[in-house]
Amino acid sequence: MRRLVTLVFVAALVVVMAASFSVSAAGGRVIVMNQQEPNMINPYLDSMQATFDVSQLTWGGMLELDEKWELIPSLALEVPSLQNGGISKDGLTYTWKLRKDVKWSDGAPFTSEDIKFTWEYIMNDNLNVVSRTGFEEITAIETPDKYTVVMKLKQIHVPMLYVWTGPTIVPKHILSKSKNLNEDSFNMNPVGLGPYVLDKWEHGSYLIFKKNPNYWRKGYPKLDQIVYKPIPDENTAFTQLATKEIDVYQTFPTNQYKQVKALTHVNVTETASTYWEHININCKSPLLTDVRVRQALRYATDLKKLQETVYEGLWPVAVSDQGSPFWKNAKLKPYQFDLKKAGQLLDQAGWKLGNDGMRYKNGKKLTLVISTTAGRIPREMTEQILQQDWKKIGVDLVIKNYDAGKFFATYDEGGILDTGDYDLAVFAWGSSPDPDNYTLWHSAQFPPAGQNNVFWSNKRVDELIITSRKELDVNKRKAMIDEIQQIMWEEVPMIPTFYWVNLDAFNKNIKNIKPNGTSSGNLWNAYEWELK
Amino acid sequence: MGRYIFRRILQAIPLLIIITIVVFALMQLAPGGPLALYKQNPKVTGEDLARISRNLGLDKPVPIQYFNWLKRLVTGDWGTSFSSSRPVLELIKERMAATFTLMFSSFVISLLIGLPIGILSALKRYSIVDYIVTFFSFFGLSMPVFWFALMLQLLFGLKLGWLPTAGMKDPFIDFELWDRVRHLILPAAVLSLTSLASWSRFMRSSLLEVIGQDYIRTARAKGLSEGKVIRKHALKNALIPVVTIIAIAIPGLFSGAVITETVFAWPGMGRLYFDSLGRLDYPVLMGVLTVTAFLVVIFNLVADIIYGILDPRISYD
Repeated sequence: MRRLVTLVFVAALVVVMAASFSVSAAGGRVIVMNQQEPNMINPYLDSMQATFDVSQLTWGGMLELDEKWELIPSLALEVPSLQNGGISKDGLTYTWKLRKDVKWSDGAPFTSEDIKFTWEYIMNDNLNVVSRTGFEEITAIETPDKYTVVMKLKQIHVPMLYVWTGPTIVPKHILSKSKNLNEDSFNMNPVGLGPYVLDKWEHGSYLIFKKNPNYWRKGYPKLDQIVYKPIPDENTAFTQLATKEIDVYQTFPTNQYKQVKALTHVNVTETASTYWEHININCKSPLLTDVRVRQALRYATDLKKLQETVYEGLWPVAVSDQGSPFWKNAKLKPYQFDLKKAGQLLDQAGWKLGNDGMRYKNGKKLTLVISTTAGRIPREMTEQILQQDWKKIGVDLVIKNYDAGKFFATYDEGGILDTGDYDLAVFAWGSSPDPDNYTLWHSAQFPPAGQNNVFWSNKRVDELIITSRKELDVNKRKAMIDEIQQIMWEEVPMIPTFYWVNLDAFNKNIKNIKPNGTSSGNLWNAYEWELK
Repeated sequence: MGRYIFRRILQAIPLLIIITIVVFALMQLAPGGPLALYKQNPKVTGEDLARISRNLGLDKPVPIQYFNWLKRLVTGDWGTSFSSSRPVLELIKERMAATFTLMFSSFVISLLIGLPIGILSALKRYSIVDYIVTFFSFFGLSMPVFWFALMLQLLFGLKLGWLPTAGMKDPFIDFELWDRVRHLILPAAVLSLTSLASWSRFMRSSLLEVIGQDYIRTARAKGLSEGKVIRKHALKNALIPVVTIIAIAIPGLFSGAVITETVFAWPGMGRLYFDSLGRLDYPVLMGVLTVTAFLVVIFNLVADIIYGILDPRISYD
C-alpha cells in the first residue's frame, strides 16, 4: 500500500514538472475578458453588455458613438442634421445617404433595403426584442434608390439618430428567409457588417473572431484575431491578467485598483460611464411625502465619506441624473453634508426628537427601510454608513436586502421597486448619451406602465419632458433638461450619489485603445486595434 | 433480480414526474421572475415586457406552463432557453462533457488516494500515520474551496508559471491531450480534496468496525495470515457502506460543482445551472434538474444492486 501511495505522488510530481514547459504564442491577436458570457450575438434580443460587445465586433451601423460620446458617420456618409438637410425643418423626415460598395461578411451587397428590413424586423410582434423605443416612432421607410433611406416619423423624436448607432443593421437577404427569428442560427453566428466574423464559439470557454474579408474599411481590421473570454471570478481574472493569459481585463472592481495598477505590463484606463448610482426615495411612502424629510435625508448623506470608504476615491460625486458633460446642469452643487440642517428640516416637518434620541410624530417613530440587491458589497457598505449617520439625526434606518431577481422583478412578478415595497433603495441606472429620461420621471410611467418607481409626479417636469423630446434646437433643449435637473435637485425624488467610472486594464502592447463608457463599450473601435 | 430491477424502473417513472412538478412549482415560488433582467434597462417599457412575456408563454397560468413543458418533453423537445433561445438539450450536452471530464478525474483521484489512505489509517490506528492522515482529512474537509483554488492559482499559475490558471483548453490548440491535462490538474485537485478527505474517513471507520467483528477474530484464530484476514474477510465487508456512498456521489459527476467551475472558468453544468438560476431561465433550470433527478434515481438503484452482489445476505426476490 505504501508503494502505491508513493507511486501516486511521484506520478503527480512528474505531471506538475512536465507542465512547466508551457508554450506562449504571439501574433496578431488580443484576448479580451468579460465577467459574463454573451447569450448570443444579437443586441436586440438580449441586453447584456457582453452581448453588446461581441455585436460591436460583427455588426455595423449607420453611425458610431466615439469615445467623446459624439456621433460620427460609419455606414452613412454623414450624420443627418438640420444644417445638412438630413433632418427636415419639421423634424419628421430623416434622409440618410449610405456608403456604396459595402458588402456583408458573406459578400452580398449592403443596400438601403437592409435598413428598411431592420425596422420591419424590430416591429415584428413574434420577435423577442428587448426594447422598441425609437423604432415605434417611425411610420414608414422609403428607399428611393439603393443608397438613400428616407424615414418618416409619427412625431418629433430627438434621439432618433441614436437608434441607428452602433450594432444595429440586420441582413435582409438572410433573415427574410428565416422561419423562426428567435431561434435562427443568425443570432449565434451572424452575417454582419462589422470588422470581424465569428470563427469558433466554445460555449462556456471563449469566442474566437477572425477578420471579415469583406470589411468596408480598406486595410482594416489590423488584428488577425480577437478572443472574447468569459471569466466569472474576479480573482481569477486578475491572475489571468498577471500571467498574460488575457490582454484586456474589462470593468474590474474598485477594490482591485491598487493590485492592477501595480502590474507593470498593463495600462489602466478610467473612463466616465453613463451609469449613475443613486438612492431611490419612495415618494408614495407616507413618511416620505413631505419634501423637507427628503431634503433632510439628502443633507445627511455624507458623499465624501462614501466616496473615500466605498469607492476608493475614484467615482465622482453626482448632482443629477445626467452624467454627460454636455447635459449635466453645471450650476448645481452637491448638497453639503450638514446634520444640523437635516435636523432642522425634520423639526420643521413635525418630526420631534424623543427621549431615546429618535424622532416621533403623533406618537409614530421615524423608521425607514432601505433596500438593495444582497451581495453587492459597495451598496451594502453605503447602507451601513447611512444607518450610522442618520441615527445621529434620529432616523431609524432598517436594512432589508433582496435577491436581485426579487428586487428588480416586474410589477406583476411582485418586484420590490416596481410595487413600491420600500422606503429607500440603492441601485444604478444606465442612461444613454441622450438625456431623455421619460420612462423614469414622467408621472404616466408609474409601474407597470414604465419605470418611475420613485412614484414621483411633478406637473412642470412632465411638461418639460414632453416638450424637450420634441425640441430640435439643442440649446433650447439643454435649457429644459437643466430645469428638470434643477427641480429634481429641490424636490429630491432620489439622491444622486456617484457617476460610475469604468476601470479597464489593457496590455501595453495594444495600440489605439479608445475606451467608451457608454454601452458602445471598449470594443467599438476594435478595427483600429493594433499590436506594437 | 430481473423482476426487481424492472419493478424499480416502473416505480421511478411516477417518482420522476412528481419531482418535476415539485421543482417546477419551487421555481415559480422563487422571488422575482425571468423578466427582471430586462428591467434594468431604463428604455424598457411596460408594453415591451408584456410582449416578451407573451412570446415566452409566461402569460399563461402556471399549471398550463407545466403541462406544455411536459408535453414537449415527451416528444423529446426539452424547450429553448429564455435568454439565448437555444435548445436546452444542446446546452446540456455541450456542458456535460466538460463537467464529466472534470468530475470523473477528481472521482478517480479521490478513489485511488482516499480509499488506500483510509485503509492505511484504520490498520495503523492511533499511529503517527493515522494522526497525519486524520489531520489532513479534516484540513481537506474544512478548507474553503474557493480559497484553496485561489492559492493554487497563485502558486502554480502566477509564481511558478507551470500551469494555466483557468479554462479547459488553450483557444489556439485544437486538441492535444497534454493541453487538456494541464488545464485539468488544478480544478481536479481542488475538487478531489473534499471527497478524498471524506471518503478516507468513511473507509477508516467502516474498516475499523469490521475489524472488531467476531468473524475476524475467528479468521485470525483459524491461523490465517493478517494480510489474508484483511483482504479476504475485512475489506470486502467494509466496502459495503463505502460503495453506497460512492454510488450516490456518481450523479454529482454530471451535475458539476458551481464554485470550482466558477473559479476556474470551467465550462461545466454547475455554471450553466448557476447562470440560469440568476436569470430564472425556467427551461434550462428544468432541463438540468430533470437530468440530475434522473441520474439520482438510477444510481440509487445501481447502489442497491451492487449491495446485493457484495452482500449475499441481501436478496431482492
